[in-house]
Amino acid sequence: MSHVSAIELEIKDLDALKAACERLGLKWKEGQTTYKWYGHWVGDYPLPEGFKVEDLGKCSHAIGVPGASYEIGVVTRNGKTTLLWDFWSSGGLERVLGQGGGKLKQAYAVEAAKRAAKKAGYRVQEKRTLLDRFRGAVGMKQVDGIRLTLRRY
Amino acid sequence: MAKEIIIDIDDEGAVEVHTHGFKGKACMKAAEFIESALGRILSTKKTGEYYAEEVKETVRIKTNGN
Repeated sequence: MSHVSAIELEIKDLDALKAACERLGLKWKEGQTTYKWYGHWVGDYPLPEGFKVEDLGKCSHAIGVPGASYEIGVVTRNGKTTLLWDFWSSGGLERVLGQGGGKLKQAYAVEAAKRAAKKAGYRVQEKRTLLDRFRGAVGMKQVDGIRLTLRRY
Repeated sequence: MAKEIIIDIDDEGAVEVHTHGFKGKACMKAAEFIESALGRILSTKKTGEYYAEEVKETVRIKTNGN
């Protein structure tokens, strides 16, 4: 029997996040407690869940993104890690990391999955390829992505 | 059939986990560690209902007595 699960990413492994930064050529700034952003809340988008306006701009660590003037804030609270970023176009983050920071999410998922798989005794093969995705009424669509294949030693 | 777990991560960061070749409920069990490492599961489906080519695989598994 086979099955497919769709997963909403949660950042649970900071080492995997650091490895994801390395993979993308981003700079992990350990212990940097502020990150560069527009600087004040304009209220055009909802705040991340559990955050207040005064929390913006503050973080536990930061990520520098070459080619972007803004930075990403890494906030860990009660064991849960949230990435804060200002995707206002002049900050450049979406231009480098894709819409919604997709490239960073992808790199994190790859690194976190590889670590978990190796810990569980799997051999991991990584390949950049076209992936089949089900897109509702559109049916199957091929999208660019990374495929990890896990097998037992 | 070889047991495999396939993790597809597209360039937008969307993750799908596929398992192949595990017996019965073992396929759900096999992927649990990946799913718990990465986040919250949004949906789970048997692939036979999803991809035509997987239906073929499911049939083959059945004839092998799995």
